[in-house]
Amino acid sequence: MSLPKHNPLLRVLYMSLVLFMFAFMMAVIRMYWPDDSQVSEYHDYSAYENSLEASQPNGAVGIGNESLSDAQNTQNNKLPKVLTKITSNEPELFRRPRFTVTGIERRLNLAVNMQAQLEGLWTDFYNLDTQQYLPGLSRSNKVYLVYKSYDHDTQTIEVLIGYQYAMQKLSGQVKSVELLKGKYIKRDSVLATWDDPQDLALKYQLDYEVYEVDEYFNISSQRAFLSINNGAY
Amino acid sequence: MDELMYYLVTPVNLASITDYLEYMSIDIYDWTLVFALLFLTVELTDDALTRRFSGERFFETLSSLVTQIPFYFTEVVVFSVAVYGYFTIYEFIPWKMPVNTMGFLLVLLMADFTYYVEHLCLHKVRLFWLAHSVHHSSGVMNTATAFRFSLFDPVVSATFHLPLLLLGFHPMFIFAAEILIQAYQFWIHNEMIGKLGPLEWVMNTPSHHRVHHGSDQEYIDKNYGGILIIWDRLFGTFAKEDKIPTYGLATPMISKNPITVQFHEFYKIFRDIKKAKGLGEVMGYILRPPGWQPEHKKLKE
Repeated sequence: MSLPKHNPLLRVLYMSLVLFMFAFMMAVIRMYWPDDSQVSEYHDYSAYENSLEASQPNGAVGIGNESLSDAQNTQNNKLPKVLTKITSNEPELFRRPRFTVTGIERRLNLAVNMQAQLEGLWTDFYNLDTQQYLPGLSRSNKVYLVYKSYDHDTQTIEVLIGYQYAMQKLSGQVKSVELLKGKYIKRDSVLATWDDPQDLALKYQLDYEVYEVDEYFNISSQRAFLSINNGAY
Repeated sequence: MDELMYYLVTPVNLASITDYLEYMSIDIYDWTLVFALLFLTVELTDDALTRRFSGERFFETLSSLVTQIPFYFTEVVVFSVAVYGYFTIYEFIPWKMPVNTMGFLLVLLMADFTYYVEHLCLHKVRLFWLAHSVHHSSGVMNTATAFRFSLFDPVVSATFHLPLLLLGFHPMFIFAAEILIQAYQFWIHNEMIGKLGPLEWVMNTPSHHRVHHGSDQEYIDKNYGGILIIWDRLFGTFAKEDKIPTYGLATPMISKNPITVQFHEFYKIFRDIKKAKGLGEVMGYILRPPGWQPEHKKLKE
């Protein structure tokens, strides 16, 4: 069996294009191959809460002795529950794009009840009048917590909570931070990973967590992205 | 290269695997269209250089491309309804399959089998053949044939993938798998690539798919596979390409008129149903394979 007569050069070109197409498509598929964590094990809120109670953070920064339920009792019952334990040790590398997060920022003290401070920050952000301070933005189902400017002497850190949103002119208490494009390691919690980095080549500059939330800020998934030094892995 | 790819693919913040699959599959499909146009350009140039180019082949190619216009509009409507419907139904399904990489690979495999079953039904049930005959009505085998669709094709596809949803797979997984399998079809419609060695054992290849488009007796109703050819090998519908097939329908459809291309089988089924005696025969014409006739009609002939 033989195919119809073809121009040999065009045939080679055609086959090269096919091979290039497959290589290109593989590269597209691999480029953003995601983590496996839709975190379905936390999708059910009660299961999520139980998992926290069953395994309080071991060595998580500043919150090791705090009970989540105690912290919750001091807050509105719509408050989010922030996961602070590490569930995976396998380094997963991700190339994350550059984008801006806009919201409110606080300097938090790592030496005192961090869980309560974080939940206070969430409450303030929940109560923020987005119409006034973030005009044109409807509430997103993804909330970012950006950790930066760690001060070793005072044991404090700046945390900005906000949405992926860029605006020209900031007003009032609203601030922006630009997250840098680059290689990140995926974990569950920034603070827990900072506290127990194992052998990860962390930059300790600007790391963030992404939360998927509903309209009441109940969290359905949480993941952390920590920037790593170039050349690592 | 990574930097280049970074800007070529959609630069969004992908926070979950479903986000990823949504963007990745759409990216893949868009890029496939770009490559398909490149393939077609090379094929037409080759036709010109080897003196195969003719008005007949050109207009057949053009006719195939034109079918994309009505197809596109119904695809937009049906796909929108399917997205809404699938996500709504998914909320009511008490069992959910894992939303992770392995889950996607599993749904991709099952969607490929679904494609096989759907494709078999498209050939074996005349109601579905009304739509699918459009794809087979070209006497030319080039990349444009891969674009040759009926405006009813999207409806059939959305229906056949419902069982995957009922199994508890995430709708975005199903759509992404469907898009990837559809994108794969663009490179197997050509006469430029011969046999591909061991790949022919497992994968659907241009050679296998040329057989599928053949109207020769030994090639009719063969090689239904999407990405994998193993389904045909398992279920006895496989045929090897031993000679270059005669492409098109068993009763050739030579018109290049886009309306005739879309509706030629509708005219034929309407003619048959009009002559049918009773509901049983009407249903036979609709649900039995193309070419089916009642016993009394066979005896007359």
